[in-house]
Amino acid sequence: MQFSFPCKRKRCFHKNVNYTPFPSCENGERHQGRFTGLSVEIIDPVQAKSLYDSGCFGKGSKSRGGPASGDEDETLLLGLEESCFLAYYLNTLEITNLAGSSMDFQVFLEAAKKLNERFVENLACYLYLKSKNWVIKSGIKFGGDFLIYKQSPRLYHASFLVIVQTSCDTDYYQSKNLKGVQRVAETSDKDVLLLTVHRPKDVLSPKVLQETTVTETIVRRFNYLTFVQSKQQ
Amino acid sequence: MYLTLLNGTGFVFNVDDYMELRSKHRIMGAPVGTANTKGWSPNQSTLPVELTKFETQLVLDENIAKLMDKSQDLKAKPTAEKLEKYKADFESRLLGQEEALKTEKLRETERYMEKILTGKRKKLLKQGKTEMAAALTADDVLKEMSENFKFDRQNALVEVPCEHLRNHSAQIVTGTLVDISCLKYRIFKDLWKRGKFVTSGDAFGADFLVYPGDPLIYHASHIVIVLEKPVIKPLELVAKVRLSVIVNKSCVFAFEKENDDGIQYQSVAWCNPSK
Amino acid sequence: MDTKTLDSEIVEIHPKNGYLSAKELIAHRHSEFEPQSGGLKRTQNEGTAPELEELRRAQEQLRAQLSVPRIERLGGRALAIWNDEQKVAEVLRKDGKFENFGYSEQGRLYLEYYEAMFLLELGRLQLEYYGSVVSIEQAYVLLLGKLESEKYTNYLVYSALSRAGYIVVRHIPPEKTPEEVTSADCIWALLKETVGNEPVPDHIKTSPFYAVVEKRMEDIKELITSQKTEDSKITKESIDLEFDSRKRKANEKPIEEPPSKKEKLSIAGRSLVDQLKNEMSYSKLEEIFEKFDIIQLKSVDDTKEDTTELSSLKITFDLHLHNEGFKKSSPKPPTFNVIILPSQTSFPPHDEIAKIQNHHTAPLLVISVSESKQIQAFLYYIS
Repeated sequence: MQFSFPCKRKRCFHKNVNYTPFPSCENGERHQGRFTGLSVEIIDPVQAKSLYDSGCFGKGSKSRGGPASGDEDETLLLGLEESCFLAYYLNTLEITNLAGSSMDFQVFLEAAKKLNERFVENLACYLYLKSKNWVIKSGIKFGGDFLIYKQSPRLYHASFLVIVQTSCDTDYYQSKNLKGVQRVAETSDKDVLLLTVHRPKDVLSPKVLQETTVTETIVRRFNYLTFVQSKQQ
Repeated sequence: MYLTLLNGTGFVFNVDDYMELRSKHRIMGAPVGTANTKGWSPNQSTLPVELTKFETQLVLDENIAKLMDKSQDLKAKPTAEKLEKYKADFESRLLGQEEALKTEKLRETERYMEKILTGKRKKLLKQGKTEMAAALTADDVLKEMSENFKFDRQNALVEVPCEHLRNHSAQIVTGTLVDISCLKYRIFKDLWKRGKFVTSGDAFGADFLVYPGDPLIYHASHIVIVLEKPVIKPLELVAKVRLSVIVNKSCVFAFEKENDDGIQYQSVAWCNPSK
Repeated sequence: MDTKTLDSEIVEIHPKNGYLSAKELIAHRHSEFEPQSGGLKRTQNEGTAPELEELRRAQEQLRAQLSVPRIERLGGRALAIWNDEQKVAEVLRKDGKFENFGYSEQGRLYLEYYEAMFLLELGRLQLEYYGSVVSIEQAYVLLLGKLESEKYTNYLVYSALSRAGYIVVRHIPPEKTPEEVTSADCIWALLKETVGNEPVPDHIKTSPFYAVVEKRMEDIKELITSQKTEDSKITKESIDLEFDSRKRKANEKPIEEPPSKKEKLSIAGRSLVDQLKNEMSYSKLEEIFEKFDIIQLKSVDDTKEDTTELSSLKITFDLHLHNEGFKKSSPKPPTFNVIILPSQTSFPPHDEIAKIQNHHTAPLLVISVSESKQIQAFLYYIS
C-alpha cells in the first residue's frame, strides 16, 4: 500500500506566495525574548510580526493565531521547542530570564525540562520535522504533542498529529489510547504520526543531539469493507 | 435462566432469555453469530450473544442466571439407547412432514394454476386430444398432483436450532470470573445499579459507555474513563475530553480517593472562555 | 478465572422450546428479515408514552431479527462430520459453491473449525456428531470450546472478512525460494547461463516470462550477430527490464540489480514525511535546513542479524480477492496478511512491524477486535 497524503488547502483570500520559512536578523541584531516560566514572550510588536510572518512561530497572547487583536498589550508567545530552535540552532533569538540576564543552552534546557520532563525528546522531534520544512505548532488541543502543517496554519489544514515517544514508552500502543487518538485525528482528517526517539542520556550542547535517531510510525484506519467493494466492480 | 460457559464467559443462545436480559436487566452483551439472511449488512451479527466477563459476573452476583458448563455432556458419546431415540425422533420429524409437504405442494400448484393449466392444455392439444384439453379444470390438476405426490425424504426440511433443544445435562460453574474487588468492576456495577445501560467503550478509547436507556433508541450520554489512581497527565486529560467532544458525549473520570471506599465521578467539559 | 466445575452440581436441562412443527418449518422456510431503517436516536430518557412505544417496536424488531431459523431441505445442505480428536470436520457432501473452503488430505476434504462454524451458521452445512445433527450451541462447545481462546476472535474476524467479500485462508508462510519471478530475473538467469555457464534454475524456467524473454534475447543476439542496421520491430519491443516496476519514493539511488522484493513496502531508510522537501521554499534555503538536519532516521541495515529475527506477532490469515483467480492449489501472494489483536491487547510497536515486513511482502492488516466485538482494521506505515 503506497503511503500518500494530500495537504489540504484552506480556502483563503491572501495567497502567501513568498513563504519564508525562517525569520532573519535585522542588522545582525537578534530578536529579544523573555522567559516567563511557561513560555518565551516577545514584547516588541515589530519583532513579533517578523517571527510570526516568517515561519509562523509563536502565538498571539490575545489571538487564536498570530498577534492580530490590535490590542497594544498583545505579545507573541513562543513555545519551548520553538524558542530553543530559534535561539540555539538558528541564532536569531536571545532569551533572557525575568531578571534580565541571558540564558544559555544549558540553563534553558534545565528550565524547560522542569516544565516538561520529555523536553529533550520533544526538541529532537521538533528539529527533525523542522529540517523537513514543516511548520510545527502545539498539538495539545487534540491530545498530542505537535500539529504539523505545510507552510502555514492559515493556508493549509494540519496534516499530522504528532505524538512523541521515548524508546521505553508503551502508552500509546495500548489499544484504547491508540484508537482514541486515531478517532480524534481522523475526524479532522489528520493522520497520526508516532515518533519514537532514541537519544543519548545527557545533552550538554545543541550538537549532542546528533546522536539521536527517530523511527516513524503511522497507523491509519483501513475500511476493509469499502476496499473490497471497490475491487468488485 | 442459564448461561452457557464458552470462551471463559457467559453466552446466550435463547432469544427469550436474551430479550429478558436486555429489557428487564439492562445487560447488553454483544451478538457474535454469523447471520444467514440476506437482509443483513456484513457488519451485523445474530445469536448467540456473548456477555463480557463483567456482565456475566454481574448476572451471577445479582442471581439473574446461573453459568453452566455443558462441555462434558455435549462432547460425550451418547449411549446406544439415547442414540436410537435421537434417530427415531429425527425420522419422525422428517416423516411427519409428509402431509404438510403435500399440502404445501398443492398450495404452490394453486398459485401457479394459470400457467400449469395453459401448459397442460398445450401439451394435450399437441397430442391431438382437443376435447380433453378443453375439459381440463383446476380441480383435475390438483387431483392429479395429489395422487401422484411421492414423499421424498430428501425434500423434508431440517432445522438447525440455535440453542440445544435436546435434553442435556450441565454443571453449575461456581466461583468468580473476575476479581470482584477490582476498581473497574466496582465502577461497572455502580453504574449499572444507577439504572443505566453500560457497555464497553474500548472501540472509542474509553472504558465504558453509559446510556440512559436501551441503546436501540437512545444515544450514549457519557463516556467513562477509569483512573486507577486519582492522577492524570494533562495531555491525557485533554485527549479524552477532546474525544468526548468529537463523539458528542459527556466525559466522566471515575476513580477512588485514597483511604476512601467510595467511587468518585468527575465530569470534565470543554469550554470556550471567550464565548 | 477462579471457577470450578469438577465437583459441582449437575443439572438436567429441559429446554422449554421444542423443535418446529412441520407447518412451522414450511411457513418459516423462506423467511427473510427486512431491516427497517431506525429513526433518529433519542438523548433523554423521560419514560413518555411515545418513547415506550418506540422502544417496544424496536425490541420486537430485534427479537424478530434474532429469531430467524435455519431451515433447509435435508438434501440441500453440505454434510460433514465433526472429528473431536483432530478438531476438524470431514466433508461427506458439498453444496453448490465450495471451491474456496476446506483442504484436501489423502483424498478427503476437511474443513477448519472456523470454516465449519461459518458454513453452519450460514445454514449451508449440516454438521453431525456421533450420528445426530449438531445445534449451534453444541457446535460452539465442540468447535470453539468453553475455555477462553483465540479461536473466538479468529472466528469473528474470519466471518466478518468473508462476508465482506474476501477469500480468507490460513496464513501460508512465504517460501524461502520465494518471490515471483520477474522478467528481469529471467534475463539475469539467462545471462548467467551464457556467460557463467550456470544452468537456469527450475523456478525461473517455469515462469511465464521465461519463454518470452528467451525468445527476445535470441532475437537481439540475432540482430547483433547479423549486423542488421534496421529492424524497427525488435527495437520497439525492446526488453522491458522493469527495474523500477515497484513504486518508490523519489531520491532513489541508481540500481544495478533488480531490486529485491523485500524493499517493496518497507521503505526502510526513507522518511514518510519528506514531501515538503520538494517545495521551493526548501530548495532556496537548503543550506540553512541542512545545518540543523541533525536528527537522523533510525536505519535498519539489512545485513544485520537483527532482521532475521522473527517477530513475536502471529499472522493468522491471508486475504485474497475474488476476481483475481484464486486457486487453493496454487495460491498467488495474498492481498493482505492479517494479524489479529484480541481486546485489551497492545498494538504492535515499530520494531515488531519492521521484523514482519522483512519476511513478508504483502501489506499487513492489523485487525483489532474490541470488547464490544467491533472489528477495526489498521494499516501501518513505517520507516
